[in-house]
Amino acid sequence: MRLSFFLFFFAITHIAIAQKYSFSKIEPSFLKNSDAVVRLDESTVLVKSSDFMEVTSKRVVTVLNESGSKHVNAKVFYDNETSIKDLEAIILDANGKEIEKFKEKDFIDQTATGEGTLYSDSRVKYLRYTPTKYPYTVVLTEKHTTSDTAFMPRWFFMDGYRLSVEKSEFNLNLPSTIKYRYKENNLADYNVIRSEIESGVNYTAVNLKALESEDFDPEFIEFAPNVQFALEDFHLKGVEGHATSWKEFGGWIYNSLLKGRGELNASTIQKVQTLVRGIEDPKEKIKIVYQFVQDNTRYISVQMGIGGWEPISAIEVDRVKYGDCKGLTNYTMALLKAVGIESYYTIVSAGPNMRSLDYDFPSLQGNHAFLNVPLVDEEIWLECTSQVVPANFSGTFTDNRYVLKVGPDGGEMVKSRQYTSEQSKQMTTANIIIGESEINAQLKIKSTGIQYNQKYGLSNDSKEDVEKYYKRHWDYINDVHILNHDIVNDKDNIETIENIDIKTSGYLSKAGDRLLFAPNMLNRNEYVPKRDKERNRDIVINRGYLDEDEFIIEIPNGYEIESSLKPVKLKNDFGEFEVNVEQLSESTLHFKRRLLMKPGKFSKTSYNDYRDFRKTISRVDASKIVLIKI
Amino acid sequence: MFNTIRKKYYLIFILCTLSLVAQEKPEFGTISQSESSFTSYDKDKEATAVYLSEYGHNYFDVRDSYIWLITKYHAKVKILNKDGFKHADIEIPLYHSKKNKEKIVKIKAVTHNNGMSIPVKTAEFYEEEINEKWTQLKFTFPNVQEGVIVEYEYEMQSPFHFNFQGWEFQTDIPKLYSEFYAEIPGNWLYNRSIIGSLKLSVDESRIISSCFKFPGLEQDSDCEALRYAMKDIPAFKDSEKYMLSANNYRSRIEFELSEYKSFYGGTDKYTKTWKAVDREFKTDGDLGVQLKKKNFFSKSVDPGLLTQGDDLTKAKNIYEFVKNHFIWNEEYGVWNDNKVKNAFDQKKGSAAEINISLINLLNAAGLNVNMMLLATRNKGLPKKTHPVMSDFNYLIAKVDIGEKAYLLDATNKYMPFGMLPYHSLNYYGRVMDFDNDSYWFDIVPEKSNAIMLRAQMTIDASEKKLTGVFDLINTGYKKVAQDEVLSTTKEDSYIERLEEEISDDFHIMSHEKKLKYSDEKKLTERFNFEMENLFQEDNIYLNPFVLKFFDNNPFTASERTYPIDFGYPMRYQYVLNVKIPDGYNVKSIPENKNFSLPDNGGVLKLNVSDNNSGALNLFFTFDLNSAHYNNGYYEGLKQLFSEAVKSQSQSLIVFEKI
Repeated sequence: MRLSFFLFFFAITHIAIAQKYSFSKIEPSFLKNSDAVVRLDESTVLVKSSDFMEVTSKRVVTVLNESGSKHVNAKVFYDNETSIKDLEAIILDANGKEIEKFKEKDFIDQTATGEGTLYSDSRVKYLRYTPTKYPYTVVLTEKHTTSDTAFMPRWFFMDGYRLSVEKSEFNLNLPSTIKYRYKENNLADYNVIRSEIESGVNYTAVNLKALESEDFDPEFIEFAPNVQFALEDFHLKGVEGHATSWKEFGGWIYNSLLKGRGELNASTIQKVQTLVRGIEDPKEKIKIVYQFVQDNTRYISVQMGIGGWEPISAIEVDRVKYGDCKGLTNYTMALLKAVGIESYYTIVSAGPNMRSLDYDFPSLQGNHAFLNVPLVDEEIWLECTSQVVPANFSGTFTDNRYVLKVGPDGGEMVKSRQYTSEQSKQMTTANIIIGESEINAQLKIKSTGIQYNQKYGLSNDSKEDVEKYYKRHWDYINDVHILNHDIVNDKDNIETIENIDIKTSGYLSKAGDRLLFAPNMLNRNEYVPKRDKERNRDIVINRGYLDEDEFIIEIPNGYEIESSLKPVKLKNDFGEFEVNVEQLSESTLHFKRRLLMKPGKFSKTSYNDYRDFRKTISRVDASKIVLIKI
Repeated sequence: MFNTIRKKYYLIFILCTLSLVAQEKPEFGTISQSESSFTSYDKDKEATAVYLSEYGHNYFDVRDSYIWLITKYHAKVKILNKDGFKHADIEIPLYHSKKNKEKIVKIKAVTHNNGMSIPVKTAEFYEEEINEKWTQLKFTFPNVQEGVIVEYEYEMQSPFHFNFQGWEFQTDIPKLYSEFYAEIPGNWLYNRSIIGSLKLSVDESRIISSCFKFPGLEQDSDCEALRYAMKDIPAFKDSEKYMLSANNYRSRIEFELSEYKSFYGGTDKYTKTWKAVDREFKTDGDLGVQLKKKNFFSKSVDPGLLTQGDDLTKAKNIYEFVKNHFIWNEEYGVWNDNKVKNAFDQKKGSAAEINISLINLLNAAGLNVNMMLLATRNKGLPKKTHPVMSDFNYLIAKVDIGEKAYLLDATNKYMPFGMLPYHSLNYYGRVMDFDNDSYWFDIVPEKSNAIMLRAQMTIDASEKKLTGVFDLINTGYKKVAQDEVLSTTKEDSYIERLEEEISDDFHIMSHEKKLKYSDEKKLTERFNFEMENLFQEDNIYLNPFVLKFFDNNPFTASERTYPIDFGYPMRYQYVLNVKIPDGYNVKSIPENKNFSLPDNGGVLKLNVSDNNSGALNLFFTFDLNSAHYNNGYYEGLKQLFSEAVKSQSQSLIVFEKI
C-alpha cells in the first residue's frame, strides 16, 4: 500500500515537472510579436565577502521559431577569477518532455577574445544545439563563483525585443555588514515587485509581454525594466576598491590602477621636450605630442587579469610602441606631462549609440579610455588609439555623452564634445555638364564635424576603396565612373576637401525628343522611414547635420527646358529643407539645396510628421527636369 | 625487399629533377643593404607590406626515441605603410589530438628599425586554445612603424606525419622570394601537387644518402631533398564577385601522405590509386560501414515507402521523406565519425549522415544508388591527377533510374528532386561505385532558373495613379530561394519588405500563390497593386519597369583575373501590357535593344510596341545561358549587365495629353 502510494506520487510529480514547461501552458497573448518566451529566469547572487560571490541561475526559454534561438542565451563567460561550478542544459519538446541533455563537457569552450584583441584570458562556454522542431524549450542551470564583485549583475527582467517573460526573479543575498547600492530603472511601467528579505532583497516580475523594435527607438536599456547593483567595497581582479560616488570611483581608478604607471625614460622625456622646444601655445604643443604618439604607436590589445582595467605602463608602451586604449591614453598623458601639460584619463562607453555612463549610479562601466586636456578657454579631446584622427576631433565613437574624468582629486562626470548640426556640415559645389547621352561633373565637397567623421578615412583608402565608397553613395547613378578623386585632410581645421570628377552614361532617361534627369544628381537623401503602424515609443535622433549643395548645370545644345522643379521650402521641428532651381541663361541652371536635420527626442505622436518630412525630401531629391529638343 | 622498392621510386625522382639556382638562406638577424633601403614595391604600388624573403624547411628527426616531423620557418617582412601594420601580428596554428600535440620548440622574433633590433620578449608570445583540435601561438612585433622589417624564425615539432605541411607561395601581400625545402626519408611517400598559375623559379630534387638514422637500426635511410622556390610572387586578390573558390587559383604546393614504410617492416598505404581507394572503401572505413545499414533503415520506415510505385516514384518519395525527416546541422562531416543510426533517431545530422541515410534507403528500395564524393564550391575543385582524399569534403547520392542519373542531396528542404544545393554545384565528383570501379561524374546544374514578371497596368491620370496586377514566376534555383523566403517570413512582413524595396508609393493590395500555375520547380504568385504619385505634368512619364530585378551592375572592376561562375544559368524576364490612358496619345516609347554574347552565351532584349488595341506591350529578357564564363567574356558580361540595369532604370514611356 505504502509502496504504491509512493509510486503514484512519484508518477504525478514526474508528469507535473514534465508538463510544467509544455508549450500549451503559455498564455496565447504571450505569443504575439514573440520569437521566444522566457518561462523562468531566476538568479541568486550570494555575496559572502567583498571578494567572493556565487551566482546561481536557472533560465527556461521556450523558443517559438528560428529567430527565437538567440534568446536561449546558453553561454557562460569565465576567466582566471571566475570558475564555473555547474553547467547543464536540458532540452524539452513542445510537451515539456526531456529529449536531450547537455553536461558541462558538452558545451563548446572557446576564447572570448574580441576582434582586434591579440590576446585575452576571457573565455566562454556555450551550447550549440540544432533544434529539429519548434517550439522547444531549453532549461539552463548554471552556477559560478568569482572574486570580481565589481561585476555585480545588472538585472534585466526582459532582455530583448520579441521576447515575452512569464517570470523573472532576482535575489541578492548578503550579510548586513556588506553595504550595497542599487538603482531601479523603469520598474513602474512593468509588473515588478520588490521585497526585502532577511538576508537581502528579492525582485520578481511576472507576465511581461513582448516588445517590438521601432526605427529611431531610444536604446532598449533606457526603457526596459532593470535594476543595477554595486557593492560599496568591491574587488576587481585581485584589486580592492571602495566607492559610493563617481568622485570616489574615479579616485579608486586613479590610485589603484593609474598611479605610478606614468613614468618615462629620461631619453623619451628629452625627446618629446625637444620636439616642443620654443613653442608657447599649449594647443600647438598638444598637437605635436599627439602627432608623436600617432607616428610611433599602434593599437594592440592584450587583456589579462587586471590588465583588462589597468593600463600597461608608459615605459612599457614606449618600449614596444603599442598598447590598447588604456595604455596609449596613459602614455599620451605621460608625454604631455613631460612637456608641462596636465591631462585626464577619461572613461567612456564608446560606440555610435551615444550611451552615457550612468550619471546617478557609480559603478564599473564604460569600455574605452581617451584623454581630456583642459586648457584655459577650451577643452581638448584626444583619441589615442587612432593614427589618423586629428587632435581634438571627437567622432561618433565618443561624442556627446557623459564620461568619467579621472584624476588625483577623484572622478568627475563631464559631457564629451557635441557638434551642432551647423558644425556637422557638408558643402557640395559642382559643375554638371549634360550631354545627350553622357553627363560629366566636377564637384568639390567640404566636410566638417560629424560629417568629417565619415570622410577622413577616405584619405588613407586605396583608389579602389574610394571608388567603392562613391559607387555605393551614388548607387542611383548607373555606370558612374570616378575619373579623379583628390582629398585633402586638413587636420588643423578638421575638415576634408574633396575634388572629384565623374562621368556617367547611366543617369539620363531619353524618351523621343525629351531628356529627363533629376538635378540633384550628387547628394540625395533617399531614406524614407517605414510606414506607421502603431508607434509606441518616442523618436530619438542622436545627431544632426547640415548639407548645402550648389550645382551649375549646363544643358545640351539644341534643348530647352520643358518643365523644371518648383521651389520647395519646409521648416519644422525636425529640420529645414529648401530646394530652388533658377535658370541663369538659356543653357544654364543653378540648383540650390539646403537640408538641416536637427537632433532631438520627439514625441511618438509626431512619427507621421517625421515620416512625411523624410518622404518629401526623398521625393524632391528624385524629381526630374524635362528637356525637349528645340 | 625494402631496398628494392626504395630504389624504384628514387629513380623516378631523379628523372624529374630540374635544377635552378636557389637563393642562399640568410642568417637570422642579418639585414642586407638592399633590404633596408627597400621602400616601395614597384610591381604593386598598393602593397601594404611585402615579404623580403621566406624560407621553410621540413624534415624528420628522432628526438627522445620518437620520430618527429620538424618544420622550420623563417620570414622577413617589410612593413610599407600603416595599413600593413596588421602583418606584424602573427598567428601560428598548432594541431593537437587527445594524446599528442604540435609544439613550437624554438622561436625568435625581432623588429629591425633603423639599425636597431628590438626583440619580442618570451612573455609576449601567447598560446591560445581555439577548440578541441587547435591552439595557436600569437604575438605581435614591438616598435612597428612604416619601413621597419619584422623578422621571425621558429621550429615546430609535430608527431603527426600526415600533417606534412605544404607551402603557400601566395598570400595577400607580395613576396620577393619564397622557398620551401624538404628532406623526406624514403620511408615516407607523399603525393604532391602544385596549384596555381605562377611558375617555380627553383624546382629541384636530389637524393641524400644515409640522411636519416633510426636508433637501433643499422640501415640508414636515404632522403629525397626537394627545393621549390618562386620569385616576385604577386599578392593574391580574391575579392571578385561570382568566382569559384580562391583555392583553385592561389599558388601553393600541397602534400598528402600516400605511404609509410615502417622501419620494422610493413607498409601503411594511405592513398595512391583510385583502385586502392575503392578497395579500402569496400572493405573498411567509416563510410563503407555506414553505407551498409540497409536493414536498420528498412525497419525504421513505413514499408510502403520502399515498395510502392515505379523506381522514379520510390526515389522521389524517399528523397522527400529524408528531406523532411532530418534537420541539417550545417556541418559537412564526410571524414567525421559518422553515426547514421543515431542521426536518424535524433532527426538531425551532418550532410554526410543525412545523405548516407538517403543512400541506405534508396538501396533498401532496390534502386541502383551510389555515393558520390565532391568538394563544395568554397573548398576548391578536387584534383583529377591522383586521389587526394582531403580534397573532398562532401558527399551526395547518385541514383540511376533507366537511362537517367539523378544527383540528390537531402540537406535542403526546399530543393526539388534532382537539384543540388548551390554549395554543391562544383563541376564534378567521384562516384564510389561499390560493385565496379569508381569514376568521375559531372554535375550539371538545372537549366531553367528564372524570375519572370507578367504584368498588366492601367493609368488613372486624374488620380496620378497606376493600378494593376502582376504575376511573379520563379523557377529552378530562384524558386527554391523564393520558397525559403515565403516559408520563413510572415506574409505581411513579406509584403511590407517588397513594398519598401520597390518604392514608398507602391502598395500591394493583395497577394496569393497560384498553385495551379506552380509545380515542384516553379512558383507563381499573383499581386494586385497600386502606385501613387506618377510623374505627370501635361505629359505622363512612366518608367514601365515598376518592378526591377536588380539595381546595380555586379561587375564594376575594369579588369577581371578569374573566370566568372554563377553556379547555374539564369533568366530575368518582364512582360508588360499597359493601357493607353483615355485622353492621351503615346508620345514616345523606349528604343528596342538586342544584344547577345558570342556562342549563345547570353542575350538581352527589350521591345516595346503598340498593339493597336489601346495598349502597349513590353517584352524584356535578360538571359545568361551558361553557369560559367571564362575571362574573355568579362567585358561582354559587364556590358550586358550594364544594358540590363539601364533598361530597367532609364526606360520611359511618354503619354501626351490630347
